[in-house]
Amino acid sequence: MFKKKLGFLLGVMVLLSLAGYLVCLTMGSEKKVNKDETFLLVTSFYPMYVLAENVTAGVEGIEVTNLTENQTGCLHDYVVSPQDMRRLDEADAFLINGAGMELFLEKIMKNSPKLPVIEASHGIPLLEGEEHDHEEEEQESGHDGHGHEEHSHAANGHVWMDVERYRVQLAAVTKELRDLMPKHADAISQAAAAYDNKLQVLAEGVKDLKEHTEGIYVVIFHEAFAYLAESLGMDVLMAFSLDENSEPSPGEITEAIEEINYHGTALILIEKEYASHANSILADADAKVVYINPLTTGDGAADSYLSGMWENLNAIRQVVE
Amino acid sequence: MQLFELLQYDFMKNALLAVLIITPLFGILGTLIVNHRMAFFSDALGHSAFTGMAIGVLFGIGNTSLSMILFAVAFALLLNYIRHKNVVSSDTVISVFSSLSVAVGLAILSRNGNFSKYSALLVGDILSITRKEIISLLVILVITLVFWYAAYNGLHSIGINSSLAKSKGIPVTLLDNAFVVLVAVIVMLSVRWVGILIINALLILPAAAARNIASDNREYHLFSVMISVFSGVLGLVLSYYLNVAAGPMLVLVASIIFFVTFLARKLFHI
Repeated sequence: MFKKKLGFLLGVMVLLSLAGYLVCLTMGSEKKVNKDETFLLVTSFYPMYVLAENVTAGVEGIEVTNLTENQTGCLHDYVVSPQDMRRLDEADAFLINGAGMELFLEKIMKNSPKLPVIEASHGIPLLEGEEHDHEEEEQESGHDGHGHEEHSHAANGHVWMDVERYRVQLAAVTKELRDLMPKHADAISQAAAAYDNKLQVLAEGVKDLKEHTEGIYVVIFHEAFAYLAESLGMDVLMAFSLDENSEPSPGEITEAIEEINYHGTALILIEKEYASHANSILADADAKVVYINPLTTGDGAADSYLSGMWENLNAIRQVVE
Repeated sequence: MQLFELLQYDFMKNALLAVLIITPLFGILGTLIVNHRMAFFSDALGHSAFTGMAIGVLFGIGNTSLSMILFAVAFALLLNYIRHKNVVSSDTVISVFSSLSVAVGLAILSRNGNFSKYSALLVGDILSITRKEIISLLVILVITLVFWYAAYNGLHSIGINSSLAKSKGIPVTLLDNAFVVLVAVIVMLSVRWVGILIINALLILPAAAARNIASDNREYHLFSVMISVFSGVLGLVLSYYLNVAAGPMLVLVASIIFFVTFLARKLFHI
């Protein structure tokens, strides 16, 4: 009797394994092994991907892939999949924004300590974040002496939303990438210079707009907008730090309404998808809504940072002029 | 597709090691949880991980595992105490405490709209486990085996009839409390990797499936551990090739085995 049952159970297991094998064969993702000479640069998320695309434009022998989907957005709550781990394992370098944007990486990097990491925002002065409680991460990273002491985790890491800071990021990435690929150093510099020229025009655009926006009060619904607001000389009355699955609390809404009413009027900078969050403020305060794109998602086009930022500037211009 | 290519990667080796330690542990514990009709109890325990973590974050305790374990142990002892008081029906009491601990945890962790940072706790992330954490799991496996060897007969008789066990001089309360404390510690140590939403399935399903076909205790334990380890390994391998989270895959495999054994018992009286 026992043998019969054991046999039955083992039979079930064998059948399940076979079924699983078949499922994997038909649906499984085929692994691409990167054994050739191509330098594989993996980026953490969309803004870094676009940056890398531009720095490596026209450079031979380098492939850029984005670790996360182009639609993932900010990575605060990202959980890595086995495929991501594989990609990192094959990568020759890993480009991250840093400044606390890729918290999920700290643990993973322990598993592949040899991978060169390019931290784009290294050394860039950061804006203060909202009262994020990052105590946990802070302590955890403190344990293994990760060397993150130079910036507090409470800082706001969305630096790419300030064009000037983004240019500093570009310069830092260019330098590190040149060191990693000395043979292609010139081509990298060329590509970076071409991109920086376009960014310079964009930065001029920001300066022009700043004449109209200096001192304007704003309420922002995304931490990233703090950098845009700062570069435009705006005065941030209040910053909601919302993520994809949370709603503003009644207390925060009330605070925002009182702030706006105290100062008379304000602009509300918000992502289009979450526009409904602003409705409760509009009902009780004199404010205008401007849709801003935090540029964390896109179709992968190399100029998507430029076009997205111009759209943001135009959206603001239409309201303030 | 090469079958063993996944073992080239350290993170998969670590995950596999962790699975090979966690699953026998759960297979063994599950047998008694099912026998003692404590499925709901262990579910509530898993949910208390939220509050444990929240308390850790609130007081700035660096290692939230510690606050999770301390809270879960206190929670388990309290629940066990109430369970034996028989004031209200115990499933109602457990449900109240379970909801309360989820609510407290969510309320604290979602302050300032930050909950998404902790949402990994819901589905678990076995790929990020490190060697150090695997060793702590190994220690708890050894403790469990020793405890099992020493206390199984006593616990088993409590499961059958606690009054009878008491009359035979078995320290019922002590053993029972030691058992729930052990479950609490194990659940808290593995919940980060397995996830709150599915940890209970992993505790219950292998034992429940084994119970479908086992006719004595030896078979019950053997089958439970076999099913648990098998589900763990197959689930992990499938998750690697299909690029889905490991925890749910593992529970899927265990569920299929449960239904197959369930049908086998009904149809073939195996």
